[in-house]
Amino acid sequence: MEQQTFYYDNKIVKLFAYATILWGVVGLLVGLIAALQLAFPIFNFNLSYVTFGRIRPIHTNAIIFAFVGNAIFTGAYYSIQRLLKARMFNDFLSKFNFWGWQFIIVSAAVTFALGYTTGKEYAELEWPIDLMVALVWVAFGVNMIGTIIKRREQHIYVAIWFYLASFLAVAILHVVNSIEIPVHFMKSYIVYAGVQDAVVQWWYGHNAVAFFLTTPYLGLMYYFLPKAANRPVYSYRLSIVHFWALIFIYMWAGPHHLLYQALPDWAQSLGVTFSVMLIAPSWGGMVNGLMTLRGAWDKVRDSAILKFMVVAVTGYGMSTFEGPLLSLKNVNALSHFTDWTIAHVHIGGLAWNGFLAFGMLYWLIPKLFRTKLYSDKQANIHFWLGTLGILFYAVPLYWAAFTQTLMWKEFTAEGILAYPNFMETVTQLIPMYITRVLGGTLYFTGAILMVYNLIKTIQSGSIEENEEAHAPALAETSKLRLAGETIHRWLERKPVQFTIWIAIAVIVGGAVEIIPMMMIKSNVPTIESVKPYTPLELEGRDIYVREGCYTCHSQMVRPFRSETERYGEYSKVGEFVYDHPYQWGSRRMGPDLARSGVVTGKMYKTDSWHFNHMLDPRKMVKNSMMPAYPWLIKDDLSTDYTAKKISVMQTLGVPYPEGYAEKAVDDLKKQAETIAAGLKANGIDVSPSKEIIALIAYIQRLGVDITKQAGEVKAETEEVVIDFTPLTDAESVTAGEAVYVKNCVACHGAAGNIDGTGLVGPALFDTIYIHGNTPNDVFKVTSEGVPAKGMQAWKHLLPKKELDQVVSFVLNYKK
Amino acid sequence: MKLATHYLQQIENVDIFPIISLFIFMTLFVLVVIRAVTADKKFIEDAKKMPLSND
Repeated sequence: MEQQTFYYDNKIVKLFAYATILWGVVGLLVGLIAALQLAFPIFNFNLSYVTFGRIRPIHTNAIIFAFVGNAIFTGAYYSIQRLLKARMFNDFLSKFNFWGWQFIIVSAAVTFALGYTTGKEYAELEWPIDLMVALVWVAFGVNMIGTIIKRREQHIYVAIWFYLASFLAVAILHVVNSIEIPVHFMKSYIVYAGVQDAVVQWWYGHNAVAFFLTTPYLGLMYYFLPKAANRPVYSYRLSIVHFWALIFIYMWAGPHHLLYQALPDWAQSLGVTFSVMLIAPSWGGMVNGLMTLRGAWDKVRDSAILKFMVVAVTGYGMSTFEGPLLSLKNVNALSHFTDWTIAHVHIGGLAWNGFLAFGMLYWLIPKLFRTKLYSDKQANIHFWLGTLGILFYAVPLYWAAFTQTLMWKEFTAEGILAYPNFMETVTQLIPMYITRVLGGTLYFTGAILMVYNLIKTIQSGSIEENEEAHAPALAETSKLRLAGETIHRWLERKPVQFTIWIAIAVIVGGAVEIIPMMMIKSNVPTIESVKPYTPLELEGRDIYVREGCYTCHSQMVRPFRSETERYGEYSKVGEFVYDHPYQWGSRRMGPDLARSGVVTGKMYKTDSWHFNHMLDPRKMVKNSMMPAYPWLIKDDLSTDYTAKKISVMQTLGVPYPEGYAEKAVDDLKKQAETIAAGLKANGIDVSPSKEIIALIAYIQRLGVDITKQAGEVKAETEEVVIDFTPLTDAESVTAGEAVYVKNCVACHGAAGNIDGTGLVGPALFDTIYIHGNTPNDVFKVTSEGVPAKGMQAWKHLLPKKELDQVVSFVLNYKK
Repeated sequence: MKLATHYLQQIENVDIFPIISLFIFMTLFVLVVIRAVTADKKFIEDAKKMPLSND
């Protein structure tokens, strides 16, 4: 057969490798800032662009799409050419892929900092950038499939199957999860509402992990691990089986992110079953990776590259075992909304994605630049810094997760919450968060060391941008199956058919999960009393999305006693039918807000409390880690697009009356004036045109629709008979003071305070009580609360003994 | 979207979906296992060496 001469494109590989290194450093640094913000809120700098709510999506997107994304392209562009013995299909597409992707990354960082977000995790990009992503991604796919078609190698190696599956699945996921209707150039509403949006989002979110962080990386593993170890993969048969099983099952497991949430039971069960089944193909990959080194483990001792890869594959095995574990309903009941999830993804991110990328770069850069690695010793130091970093990151977070979830769920012997004050469960975590910063710093230091090492390596060598290679042309074979050829082998040499089969495998699971969700009638029962948001509330909701409140606050009360006791009535599917996008959240750094507007509820706070809290959270809640939002008070609410927003909502099926869009701004102003007037009555002078008014309107709307009228509850409490004699012994009074400091200071000021200005509640240490001066009156108001004003019924939150003590403390205080 | 919703609403017993899918998966899985196990030994050995054979 005639030998053909062709040239590998090494320049594109080099560019992607540089981008991987650059964005890796940036992504880790932003993550470090986010970790610092959670340990020390001062690092939010009172500046809108860098608050945690905006930094967190920058971090997650930078790591996933910038660092890991570029690492995938680096490895894929290198290995595809060599495995297929062909230059990439089209140089322009390669360049477009590279520069387009970098442009997307920069636009993402800038727009997130400016607060442009769709509010859907890992899919926060607004619609113009979404379109750009689709375009660049398709360019990558065409370039890859084009190369497969003009290949000089009959068989398509398993690594490329993984790249193909990744390309197809990500394309489908991205398109389905980004169907949105623009309001203006940088604002859109997703077409799905509430539970449908949640299912689509987590079908996407789960499979973004699968087909962006996992399958392309398995492709890299199947190429670079044999390369680094210089021995073939353990079992090619296993790779065939685990490839098909993995891409088929992954698509079904999405609902495990929504267990015990407002989701039909059959969908939850489907998610759990397939998540458990996922262990098998995932471990197939891990076993294949680790067993490749059988009989060659001595090499691992000397090679930093293999060390990185072994820990990466082990990390993959650990997180794919932990994932199904977290999908079991009884484990999820404990783990969800805690740091367990964060620890879990970082085992995957730091070990599997990070370490495999590092291992690949340490192997690839010297190869490309035809030289040796500048320092093996430094690479080994990097390995140990990184490994320690992972441990110092993950262990404290597991500890934090167990601590917090157990505190949330603990009840006293009297049957009330042991830690009714949410802040207590957060304060406990701060030492763990500080340790996490240490872990992140170690990992980051290792990465910096790698940058130095690689720069030195690059300086010592030179790259051949178009590397000459020779291979015989592919013999023409019949399009039909040959005698004795198995169907799978026949398929493998027919790239287009092969691609279609992969697409079918991927689509079936997604369709099964999502299609029934569209059947609103049987799966999303509507609730009569649930009404669309008012224009002001809608604008407030958009501010809530803009500031990334969902990164720390959930809006989903699960049907557990520990949650209904703390937050109120559990969430129903029908409550969210007008939520574009849904805002259930995935982590509770702060309390759930689903019932924050219910005046008689446990979460209710007054308008003035919210105002002061946004201005300075630590003034209202001691030790709070929430950022301050002074700009909400300074900035005017833009109503330029209010009418447009209402009409887009109408297009999406939200039942505003015909022609309401024109009247929306008038209604908005009316409601804003009412709220501003209420704040003024409480001594807060703020113009009704400010953003804070809209946000307060939204928060006070949450949960209202399905709650019974305040009057009905009041009637029940009128008849309570109180017989209370203050305790006078020093022990009880001291104990009472401790209770006061823990629970009452936030609203009523420090012990002894007689000046009510700036406080949410009245001062308690003057001589007059609003609701009566007798011990019985004071006790009653404490125990039953004043729901209309935001005073809690403390009999639900404190044991009788502590209630007695705290009232005694207040009454005995020397006035 | 509405068009699809309308027709899907007519389907009774939507829970048959997951069961059918599980069946599809099991069938496919068994076929893939059979193919992998019965694959030609020489072919498997050649495929395995692909990353190492060129540079």
